[in-house]
Amino acid sequence: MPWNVKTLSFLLALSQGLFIQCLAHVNSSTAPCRGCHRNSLDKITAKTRHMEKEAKELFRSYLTHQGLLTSELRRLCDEAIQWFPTENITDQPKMVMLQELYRTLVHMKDALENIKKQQQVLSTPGAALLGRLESTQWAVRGLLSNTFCALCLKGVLPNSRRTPERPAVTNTFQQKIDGCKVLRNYSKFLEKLARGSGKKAPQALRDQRKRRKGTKRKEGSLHS
Amino acid sequence: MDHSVLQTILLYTALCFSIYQGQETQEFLPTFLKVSRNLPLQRLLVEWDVSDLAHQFELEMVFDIQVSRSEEMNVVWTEYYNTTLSKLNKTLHWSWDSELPLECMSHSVRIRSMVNDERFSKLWSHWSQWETVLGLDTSDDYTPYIFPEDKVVEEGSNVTFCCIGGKDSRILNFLFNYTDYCYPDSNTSQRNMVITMNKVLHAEMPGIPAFCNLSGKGNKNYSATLLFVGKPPHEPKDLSCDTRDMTTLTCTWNPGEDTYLYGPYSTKYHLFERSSQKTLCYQETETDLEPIRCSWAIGQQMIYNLTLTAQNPLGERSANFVLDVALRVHPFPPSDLSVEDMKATEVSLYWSMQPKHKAIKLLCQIENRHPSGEVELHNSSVVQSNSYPHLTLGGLQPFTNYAFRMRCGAASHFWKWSEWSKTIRVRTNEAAPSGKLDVWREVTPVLGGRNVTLFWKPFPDYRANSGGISFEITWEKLEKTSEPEHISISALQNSTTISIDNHSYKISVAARNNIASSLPSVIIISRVTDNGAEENVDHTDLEEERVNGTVDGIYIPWKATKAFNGYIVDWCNFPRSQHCDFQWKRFDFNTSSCLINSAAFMPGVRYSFRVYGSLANEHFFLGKKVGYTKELAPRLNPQGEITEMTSHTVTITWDSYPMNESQPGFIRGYHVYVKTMEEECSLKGSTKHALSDGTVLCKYTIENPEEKRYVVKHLMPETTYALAVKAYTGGGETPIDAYIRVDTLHDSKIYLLVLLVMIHFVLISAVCFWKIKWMKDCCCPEIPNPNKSKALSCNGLKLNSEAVMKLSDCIPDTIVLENTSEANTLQLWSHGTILGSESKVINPSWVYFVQNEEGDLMCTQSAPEACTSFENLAYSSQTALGSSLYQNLWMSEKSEPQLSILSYQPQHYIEIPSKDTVTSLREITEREDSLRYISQMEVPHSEVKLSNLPHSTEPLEHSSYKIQTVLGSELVTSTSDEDIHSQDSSTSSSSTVLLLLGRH
Repeated sequence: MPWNVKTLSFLLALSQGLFIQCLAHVNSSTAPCRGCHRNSLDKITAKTRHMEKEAKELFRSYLTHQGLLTSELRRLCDEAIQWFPTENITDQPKMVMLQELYRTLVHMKDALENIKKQQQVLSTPGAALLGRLESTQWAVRGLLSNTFCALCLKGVLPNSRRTPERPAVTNTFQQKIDGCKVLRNYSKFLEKLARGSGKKAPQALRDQRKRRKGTKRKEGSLHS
Repeated sequence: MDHSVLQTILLYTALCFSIYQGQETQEFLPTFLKVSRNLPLQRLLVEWDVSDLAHQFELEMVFDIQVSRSEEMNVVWTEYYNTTLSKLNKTLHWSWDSELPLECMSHSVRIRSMVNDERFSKLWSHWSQWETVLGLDTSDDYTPYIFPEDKVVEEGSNVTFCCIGGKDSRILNFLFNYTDYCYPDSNTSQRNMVITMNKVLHAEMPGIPAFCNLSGKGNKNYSATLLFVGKPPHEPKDLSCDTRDMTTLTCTWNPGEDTYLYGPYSTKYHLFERSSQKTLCYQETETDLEPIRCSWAIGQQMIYNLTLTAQNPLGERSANFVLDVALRVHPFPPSDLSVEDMKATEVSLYWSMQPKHKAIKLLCQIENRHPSGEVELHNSSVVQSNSYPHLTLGGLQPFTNYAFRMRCGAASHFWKWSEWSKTIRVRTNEAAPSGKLDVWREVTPVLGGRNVTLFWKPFPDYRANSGGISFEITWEKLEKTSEPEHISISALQNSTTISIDNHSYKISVAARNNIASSLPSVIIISRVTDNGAEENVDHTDLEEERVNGTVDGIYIPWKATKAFNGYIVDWCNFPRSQHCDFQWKRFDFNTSSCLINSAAFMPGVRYSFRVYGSLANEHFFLGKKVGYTKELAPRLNPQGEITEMTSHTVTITWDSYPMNESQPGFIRGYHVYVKTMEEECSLKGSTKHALSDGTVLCKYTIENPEEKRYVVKHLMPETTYALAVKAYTGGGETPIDAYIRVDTLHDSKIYLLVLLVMIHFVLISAVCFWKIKWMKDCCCPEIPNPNKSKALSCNGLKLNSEAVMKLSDCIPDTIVLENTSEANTLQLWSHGTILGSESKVINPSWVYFVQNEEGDLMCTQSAPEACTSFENLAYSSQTALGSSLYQNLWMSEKSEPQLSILSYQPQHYIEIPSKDTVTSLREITEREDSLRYISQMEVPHSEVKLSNLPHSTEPLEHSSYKIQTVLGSELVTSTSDEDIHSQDSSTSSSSTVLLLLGRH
């Protein structure tokens, strides 16, 4: 009997532990998605289109403000940055696309912060570029949040690991070019993203239509 | 010790010996030459040495230093460096700042020396070897460079850049501030480029890019840098330092103009205290617009010798000043301001100040703001900052709201006031009403007494001094002792009516509040006299005097006498309203006129003013004045009425027209306007009055406003006139909008004249009728009648009548048939249409045309018997010679001769005038000579169609009868075709005399 009591008490404790574990797991999976809307993906698409235009304007403003409008200097900004995806991420599966987007936006958020700090030192206080940089920072944060939600709702917690910060470049010109590269790559990245989502939207519509036709045919065949 | 002395002696000896031996050949060659670079300063540092002997003698020496660039050793700088050698510091130093970045090229230095001493010959030593620091253009590195890097220069200066390509690379072009500078072709093989930008200007960008484009090996095919162009700092402006609590001293200043340098190159400020040699502050500018603030603890130091330095990479500016902390006390604003011991006219204010830990003597100022907005400032006595001072303010008004606030400043050495404290609002306590009320009255007689309406308002010195005010009214008889009557009126009212009998009364009015009553204001109402008139009471039946009004008001004059000690004028602001807003105004005894104005006064409203003289609370009516601020044209037109009318006059009256205060101006007279059918006014006694539409009226002016009747004279009989009456005031008159239409009567004199003329005519006619035979014989002698002629003496033929004469009855004497060669014009007519053109019918036969069944005209014998018809113009019924004058003689024939009819019609022997032929008067006269009686012979008759009529054949014989009268020339007129055409009907209707030749 004492064995039985011990066994029972052990089993009870185990079941309790498992239950608590189970609860804890549920909490851990749902809590990060708090405040996320189901249409996060749609929001990403809409926001990307808006941000594409904003990114182009920011790049243009940066070139003007930094005196980089000549073709020779502008050419320097075309250099690819390693942490931007080389391919169009919209061609990839949705989950991969979202993860790539999330990863890129985390980098971009840090890069924008660096550019802003640099410009705060160099620029005239109250320069228009600073305002645009700040606006873009907010937009990136918003898109990051939506991407996080989209991933979270699909049960994936994105990896928020950050890349180690590179040593600051001492040459001021190089700082300018680095900032320019980031903004150019960012603009191209958003352009691809917006174009990709734009292509997919008609495809999605076609799919929907096909589905509807299919159901109609089925209904027709049922009627006949 | 001995050893060292010995050594010195030996050295001296050697030197002296050497100087003695070879004075001219002695040289101190620079040795140990060393060249290095200070790159941040772009400075070349040179070190060398000379022999110890020269140092030992502390010789004065000159060094010729040469700096060369590149491998070709182009000397770019030469300088003589004078120095006195020292025994202690043997290494010699010289530096040189290069305009070209030292990294760009190799720099070499060489030196030679000369002893600048009279004991030595002044000869230069030999040059030292070139000592070189290599430039980056000599390296085997593939990395490109550009210099200077991130340089800060002053606006307007020249900047030299150099680009260094990597090994085996070539410079393509250089770009600065959007301007492209190509590298010269001749130097394309070189990897080094030097270019100078002259007078650089600041740009609206953080650093102007300078960019070198390269070709060749290496990862990087460009080199770039930024140039920061700005200005040196400006002297700080508005520097101000003060202490608030004697613990901390704070200085503020404005940075001045923009330097265009930001971040690491922005202006930095140092505040340095020279006495203590301490840096008190180090501040950077974030913007050039905001003031910079620096604070530090004072401690025991009271005098500060400060230097404020503004510094940026382009320079620095300093400002020195000395300050005594005791003279720069700017206290904190007082706090905890409160009121205690509140009274009706005074109040005590309490407050606290800082600092508490130190006693600063302060002087405080209290601001007292009245409800009217008036501001009073009161200064307190000197108070200690660590005390709890108070101040009592007197002279306040009871029951009045006041707002207090205060500020303080240093009492000993005033620097500036503190900010104002928070405002506190208080109301003083109540007190008895002060001053008196201004009382006035209006007396209205009623049955058995009078109604006295009392009005009151505060005199300027009156103050209620409380919230709960009432007015106490007391009245009592003056002559007889009686119990005074009393009523209390609420504060909301400013008038009341009491009833009194015909005795004299003394009425007093006073204000009362919770504390006490004010002094009463007394007014005396005189008694009514025995004849019923009231003494001093309104005599409104007195003739009112008109007064003039202007924009500034209505001018009221009166006769001032010494009998009165003042005057009162009263009036109503709204005389047409039931609540007339009664007003009055008091004047001094020496005032004889006033200008009354009110915002309520309106143009076109008649205001009535009564003037009283006052003496010992009694008032005597002096007169009534009426006037307008501005007279307007009458709105109401006189209703004109025609009361009397003749053929030449019209009387118009407008009796009912009012002239009272309802009029918007004093009626000055009337204008009577008369509109005639003529364009111009021609009525006697009137003036012309042109309307805006161009109509001209006759205008009569009646200048007496009492005259309401006017007789318009000199009119035309049986003519329509329009009349209008307009009243006019000082404001003019309104346009005419309606007329009274009137038709003048017939003139009876004309009828009388006509009657007289008619009577005369009848009398003359009667006389003429009575003497008709005589008249006839005289005027119209008898013309022989053919019937009475012997030539045609027929049996049984009656005279003067149409008769048928048988041929057998007539016994002609002689009949002459005359062929007339003259062509007669015969006009053929059918149904009023001319059938042919003029046809000359020569046939002397009478032809009668009838219309057959086919519609053709047939020339037929209309009657079975031929007849002869004569017509005499003088006796025929066709006396009117109109159309019959041109009637043709027609002849009709039948196959049977016995039935032929001779129709006679007057043949005037006048050709029918046509376009072609018009017979002249002379021709007619000539033809008259051939007038004769022609017998109407039987003519063969035949039935002839009209178409067969000969139009112009041979002349036919015809018999014609010519009238026996001489035609006046006036009867001969030319006629047109149309005239002829119109003769158709007249022809057919003309009566003729038919002479029947035979009867069946």
